[in-house]
Amino acid sequence: MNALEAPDMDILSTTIYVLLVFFSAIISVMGSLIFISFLTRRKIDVKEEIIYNRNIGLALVLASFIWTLGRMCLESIKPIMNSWYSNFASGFTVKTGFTFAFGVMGALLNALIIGIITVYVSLKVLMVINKDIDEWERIKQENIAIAIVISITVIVVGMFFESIVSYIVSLIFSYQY
Amino acid sequence: MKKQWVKVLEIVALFAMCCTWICLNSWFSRCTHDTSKGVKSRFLAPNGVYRSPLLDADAGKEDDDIPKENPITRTFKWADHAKINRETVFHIDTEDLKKEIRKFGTSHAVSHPLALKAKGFLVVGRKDYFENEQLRENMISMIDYRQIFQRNLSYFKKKLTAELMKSEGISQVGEVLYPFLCFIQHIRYEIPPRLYKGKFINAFFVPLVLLYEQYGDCDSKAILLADFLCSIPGFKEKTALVLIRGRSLSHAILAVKGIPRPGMTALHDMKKGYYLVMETTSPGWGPGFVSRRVTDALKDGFFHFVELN
Repeated sequence: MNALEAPDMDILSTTIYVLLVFFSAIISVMGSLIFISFLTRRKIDVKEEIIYNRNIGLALVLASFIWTLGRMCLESIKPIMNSWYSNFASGFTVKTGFTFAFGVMGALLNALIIGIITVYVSLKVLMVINKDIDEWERIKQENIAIAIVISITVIVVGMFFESIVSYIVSLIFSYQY
Repeated sequence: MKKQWVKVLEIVALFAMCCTWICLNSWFSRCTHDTSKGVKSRFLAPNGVYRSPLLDADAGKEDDDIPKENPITRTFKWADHAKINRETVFHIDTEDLKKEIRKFGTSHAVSHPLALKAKGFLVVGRKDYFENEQLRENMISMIDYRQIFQRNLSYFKKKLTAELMKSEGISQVGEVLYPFLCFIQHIRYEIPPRLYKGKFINAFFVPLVLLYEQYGDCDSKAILLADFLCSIPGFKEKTALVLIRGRSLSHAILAVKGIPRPGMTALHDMKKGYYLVMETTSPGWGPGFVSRRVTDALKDGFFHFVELN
């Protein structure tokens, strides 16, 4: 039987994969909420605007942030799993286990940072182009048109940048071992 | 009145710009794709295109620079998946190498499908065209990977696979996938020449020549890995060569039948099941993991599946 076909390997790998997806979801949602409050300089209470005022514009922008950060985190899962299987095939020890755990943290942090930079750059470009418009104020006034433009810009710029993430994560793991 | 002239001038300028753009575009495409040479492809070679005088001039010189020593020794230094440095020494019989060089590649313009098959090529299509008011035909051929793979199996079974397994200290069939893939990934990546020892080889090294030259490209390395894997006693998994062409990518990977684990990339055949993909060109990719570009090309269906066994 191949080392990769052992039943305990199946359970472990699936658990790690599920955990990674779960952490990616948490990181993308939490990161987006924190980052959007930072960008609006806490002028807008995001939760209140979305839940009580039903501000669709703000919900769209937040959704685009979550999408972008989520994609970045998901992009780093494949290289992490690649490293996991290589480790397991070469014999798993406590030391390699710790190195792997640090690698995972580094990879997810890297995805979060790149995601935030991407979102920030795309928003900054839009704000430089439209100097005379205060986008956040307009979104607060439920201007959905501006929200659509912002969210699509963030998603498209994110699509360009997401390919970088997997390369960086592969680099992190290749330096580690 | 002036404003109207400005508008007309703007339209004329725009028209001129469009014309210039179209002209530049057609000139550029003419420069990059020489139409007189037909469709250039990494895998498909239109027959009759490569009638270089060099071919006939060098015909028969294929054995000249092969060393006289017997067997030829080739040493590979590489690191396995646990980052342990290893050294593998292969002993290739000179006569077998010469035979293999003779068997693959055309030294003159061959057009008959059977003659091409004997030289390791497979006719996959024909293209008719007019030249000097006469109807002519171009044969489109590709490398017969399956034939080359099967031809080399017995030699690998007899000698080379045992040498590789010995250098890695492997005794069980289940342990081979990772180390073998690592070994192939550590062979230097370089595209073979189109002409080798006076013969047209379409930038492909057969497994023995790859080991002799100690370098190869994606399809050459993939076939070498397939030969190594399938020549292990007890290894019964199906293998296939996946030729990717699309999304500005021209690449080849090996696919080995197996169950994909979470996170792995695999190809699914309705009758035969899952095939794990193997990247042979650069170290670091485990079985079932390929770069994002390759995954995208596979997802979009830009590939051709060549079953080897």
